[in-house]
Amino acid sequence: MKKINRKGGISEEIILFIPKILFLTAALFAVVILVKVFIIGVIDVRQPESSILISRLIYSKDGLSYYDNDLKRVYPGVMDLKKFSELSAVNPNSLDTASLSYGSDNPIIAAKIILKQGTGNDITVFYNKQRYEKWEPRVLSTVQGGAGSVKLVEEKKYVLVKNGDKTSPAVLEFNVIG
Amino acid sequence: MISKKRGRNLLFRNKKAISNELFFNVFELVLAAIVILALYNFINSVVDSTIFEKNYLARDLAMLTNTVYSSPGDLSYIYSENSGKHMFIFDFKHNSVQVTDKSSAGLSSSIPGKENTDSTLPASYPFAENKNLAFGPVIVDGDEGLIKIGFIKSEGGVNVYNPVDYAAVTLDSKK
Repeated sequence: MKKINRKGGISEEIILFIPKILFLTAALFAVVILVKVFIIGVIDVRQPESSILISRLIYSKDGLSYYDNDLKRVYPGVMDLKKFSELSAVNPNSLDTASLSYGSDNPIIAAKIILKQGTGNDITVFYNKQRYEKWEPRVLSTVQGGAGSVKLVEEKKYVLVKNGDKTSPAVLEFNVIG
Repeated sequence: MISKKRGRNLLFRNKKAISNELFFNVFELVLAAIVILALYNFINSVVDSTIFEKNYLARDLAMLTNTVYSSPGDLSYIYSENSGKHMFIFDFKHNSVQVTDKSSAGLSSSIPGKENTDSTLPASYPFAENKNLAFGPVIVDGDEGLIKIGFIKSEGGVNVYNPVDYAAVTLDSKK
């Protein structure tokens, strides 16, 4: 051990103390950072949330399925062509603002729903179209600036399309981005 | 022999030097104790924090509300989850569920959908409302242990309630 036996000994000792304090601070921060790294704070619910949205569009009375007003009954899996066409052309924001409304802004989920009837005339309906168009390029890993920040969930459902009294088979394709 | 004697003399002559050495040793020990105590407190606060629980419950309840809305007919469901030793307040607002730890209740609210990393802030998560069905905002006060929250969907709308309060009201009305 070095003894202090001259003037200015304390200041020399203080200078020698600096690396010790720095090391102690580094060790303290290392422990704090390590603990913080292992705390789970982010819970990714995009996959179940997308599945719930798809279910809601199929099973809900105000979704895409045919609803019999006389029987007060929803026919899940039977798409109402009239309703679908209206949503596609006449009232594209009715899903966002009425039956599936997240309020004035929806930063959570967006979807593109395509009804493929096999005859070539596919009908596309958007849910939260503005966000969908903004997020769509980001699902590609090659896109710079925000790639991977959103997740695409694709699902296909075999459905029946009700056009008046006639029904025909079709495929309902969901592209949900969350 | 001479050097030994000289060294001994130095040791006993420089009492100030020894006290300085002692001061620095004590200072080092105090510093180490402070660091250990700070780390101990930090680890304790991490163990006691409810960030994960609040975020989990907010998401779970928001998704459950979405699922309730998706049912084609009427529905009645009681959600139950174990909260351990923690007590939470569930605030069902329009378009969002906010979960607050009772010990930090009364603090400012968080932004729905944003990850809450502050242990004192409540966690919030949005759900999609159906404007054709009425939704009544409600605050459900959870107890320690088992959380129970009731959901009813009917033609009148979607209602959230505390099954414990509901049972008490039903019993009172029967009396």
